[in-house]
Amino acid sequence: MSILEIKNLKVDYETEENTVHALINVSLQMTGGETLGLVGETGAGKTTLAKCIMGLLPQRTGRIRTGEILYGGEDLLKKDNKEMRRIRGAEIAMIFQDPMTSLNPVLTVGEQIAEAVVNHDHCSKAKAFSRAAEMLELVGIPAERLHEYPHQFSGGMKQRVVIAIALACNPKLLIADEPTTALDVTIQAQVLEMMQQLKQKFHTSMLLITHDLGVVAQNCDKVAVIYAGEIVEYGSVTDVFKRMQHPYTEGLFNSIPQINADVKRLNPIPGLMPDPTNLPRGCSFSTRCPYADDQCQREAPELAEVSQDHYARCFHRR
Amino acid sequence: MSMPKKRRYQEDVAGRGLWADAWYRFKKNKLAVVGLTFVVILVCVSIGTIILDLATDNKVYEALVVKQNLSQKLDGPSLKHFFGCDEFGRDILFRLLWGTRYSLFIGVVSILSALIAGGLLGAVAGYYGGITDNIIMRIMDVFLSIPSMVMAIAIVSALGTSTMNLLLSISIPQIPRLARIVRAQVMSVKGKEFVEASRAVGAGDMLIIMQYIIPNALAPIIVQASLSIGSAILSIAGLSFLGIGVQPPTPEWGSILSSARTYMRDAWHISVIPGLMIMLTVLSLNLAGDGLRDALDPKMKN
Amino acid sequence: MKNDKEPLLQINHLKKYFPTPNGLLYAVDDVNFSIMEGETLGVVGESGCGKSTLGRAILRLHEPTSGEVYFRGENILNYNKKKMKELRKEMQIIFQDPYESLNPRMTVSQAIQAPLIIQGIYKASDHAALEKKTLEMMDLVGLARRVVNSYPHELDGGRRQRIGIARALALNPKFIVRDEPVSALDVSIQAQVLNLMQDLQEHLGLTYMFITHDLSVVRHLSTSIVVMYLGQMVEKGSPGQIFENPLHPYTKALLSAIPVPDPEKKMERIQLKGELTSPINVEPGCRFAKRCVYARPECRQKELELKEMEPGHFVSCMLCSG
Repeated sequence: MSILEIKNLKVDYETEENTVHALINVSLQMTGGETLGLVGETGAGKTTLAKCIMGLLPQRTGRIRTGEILYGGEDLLKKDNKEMRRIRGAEIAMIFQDPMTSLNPVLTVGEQIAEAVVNHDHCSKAKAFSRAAEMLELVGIPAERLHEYPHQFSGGMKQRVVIAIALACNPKLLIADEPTTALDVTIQAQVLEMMQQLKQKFHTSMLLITHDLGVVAQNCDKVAVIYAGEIVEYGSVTDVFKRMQHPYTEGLFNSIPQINADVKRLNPIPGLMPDPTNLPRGCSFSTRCPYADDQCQREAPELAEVSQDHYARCFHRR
Repeated sequence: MSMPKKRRYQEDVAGRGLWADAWYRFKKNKLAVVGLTFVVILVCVSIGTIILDLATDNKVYEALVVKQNLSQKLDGPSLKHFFGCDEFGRDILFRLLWGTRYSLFIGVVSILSALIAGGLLGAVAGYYGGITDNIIMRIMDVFLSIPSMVMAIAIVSALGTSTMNLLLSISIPQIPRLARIVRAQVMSVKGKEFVEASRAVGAGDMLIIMQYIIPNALAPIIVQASLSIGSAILSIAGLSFLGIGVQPPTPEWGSILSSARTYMRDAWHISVIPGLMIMLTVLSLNLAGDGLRDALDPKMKN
Repeated sequence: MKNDKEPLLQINHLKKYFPTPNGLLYAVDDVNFSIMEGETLGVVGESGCGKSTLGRAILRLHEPTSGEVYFRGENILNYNKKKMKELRKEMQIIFQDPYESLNPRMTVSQAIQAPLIIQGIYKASDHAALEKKTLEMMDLVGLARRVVNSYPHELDGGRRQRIGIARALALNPKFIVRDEPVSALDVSIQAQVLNLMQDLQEHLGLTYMFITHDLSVVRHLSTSIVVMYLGQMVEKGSPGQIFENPLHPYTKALLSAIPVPDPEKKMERIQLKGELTSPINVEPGCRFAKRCVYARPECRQKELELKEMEPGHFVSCMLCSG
């Protein structure tokens, strides 16, 4: 059963001068307990998507043009602020990239976890604190450290606390926006492993936003590759990584130095991502694509099914 | 050592030049433009009256600003006297016009000199840190601990009343305030990587301070300075009120205001109108300063 | 791997300690290596291991506490200010964060020209020559000429990093410290910049010291690799030796922690206990012992030395016997 379904989501940011097309007809589906990786470069629209789900799109500039975000069958975009506040945290929780700035430095970690619990369960303070202690143990921090302040923790420990806060209310969906990018590799491995275990334990679904293909391969069931606001390839991790159909996905793989192979020279995608205020007429990747032809410059391809549950947005599927 | 100037190149399509850019951004801020317009008008008035005085050998000044006419003492605003008359029957409009130069000149010059002195001390303290910082800032703390009005009174009574001494007495108490802000700014910019990058290409301390640190530390300093000009104008008014500022019959705004105090119940206009002028001037300076800060920041595009 | 030639850069017993309120911080503690002309040394380690301090200490951006830095056979730590300024033409650095390392109030052309004027190679009034050189440098690093008057914030990370490179190369240096030059960039841009720097190395005969936390990046770029942990070198060798036959438990753990972008190859991680501690008031013995799964009591007693396990492959670990 699908826990989250996004249909034809189109989001613009409007500024005085121009309109940034942040998301263009994005459709995604997540089933319970699975981890979906969202891969893309800076400015591709990854964080915008997360903000839309959380109902945290900047109100001044952000405009949702069309689409639905169905969570358990209900459209989140139709909820008012009060309902969204209840859903955030209790149903859908989010982990941000930088653990250094996402904790309040003047409250102890215990108070911060307990606060999240009280906000949603309206239980007593004592109960919330015992839950907080439990959560800390769960993320691998001794409960004695409940009364310490964030600055007394290292980066990896802080991110564990952030995860503890996110999971304190037992959400059904966890959105993790680059949760380990700010951490060292050895710590990243520890944190990801822990997240994986907790996810299985609580049967939480996870939307993992990252730019690191390695993290996706090791942690996700499905993956969506996003480029200039569009999903260009979508499918199971094995399908996308082993039988990639879109030239952009291929380009991404050629760009990363492989640890296991002694490559002397990388083969990057030429050029830059198109200006999101002025996208090319046809396929948005056509300006950088080695296979692009007249058709690609004229018309925009649809996201089409290549094999079962494997979609790609390209005329030249192999 | 001079730094590369921004020049136009043939291939250039982006960018307009720092000042043209700044002006473009400044123009977009309507409030700042209003503030600047008012300040410009005040400057024109000061210059205009100075020229008039020189051309007529102070005759107009004597006739309109100084000459008493007790028959129209405390007359309210009318078509003949837009802002009414003061306790000696002098037209307040003319007194305000001729008084502009004192308030504006002393305010701007005193803060500019305080900014140069305080800026230099603060920049050196912030950049070198350690003992240098300690010595400079402890001296500044001593200055800060004396109320600025008391220090101004002390300076003027020790040195005697003159415009120069008035300038000093307004300027010196502002030095530690500005030095503190400059120091804090410099310390935050100093740690940035681009400063290290310039050291890596062999840049000396002075050049780093002048070209890398000060331009990036400027924004809050400009705002503080424009606020200080306002408070300097108020200090002049305060000193004039105490009788050690600008001497009567010179029509300085603060002294007009302070002499109006006795007649507040009978004639509201002689206190309210100069008060409004001071307020509007201070407000305009703040608005213009705010706009200038945003305009000088290349990151605030549009 | 013995070479009769004199190395371009040789570091002997370099130390940099910082006093902190809690005691001495051993940022760089007794580091030795040498780099031959035209080669690339990769320095790998996690945040806080002292790798950035090492790069800055070599360039004397942080004055080293003790040790020797020989550049072309001369100990530059004895240089006075004037000679040092002269030397900065030869040794340059490219910083990690292209958002931080450029003066936000200088345009691209000003940023590239600044080193030339500071070093007195061109007069500030010589606009024609400066312009020519600026455009030449921009062409070299692949920056479109139309951005010449743009401010850094108007450009994306990849372009900004190219400005940083152009700026460093303007002085025509021989040796460049690259402090995490691509870790702030997206993968496709990262690859473009890495290739550019490789081309420049071949083209201009540059010698690099490449500081990074990303082992996968150094593999195909380095001629030799140094792994650092808490201020000390724990392993040194050729990329082949480090990647195919890692000896130090920390190197092994580091290698196994890198997520492989292949869903069919599940990672087998080598466990590490806890997290990196700070290098303040370090205890004697192996600094890695606290996190090492193989640690034995004697690891915490004796000071370790780098031992040569095979030609050119050095490791500092009790458990590796030669």
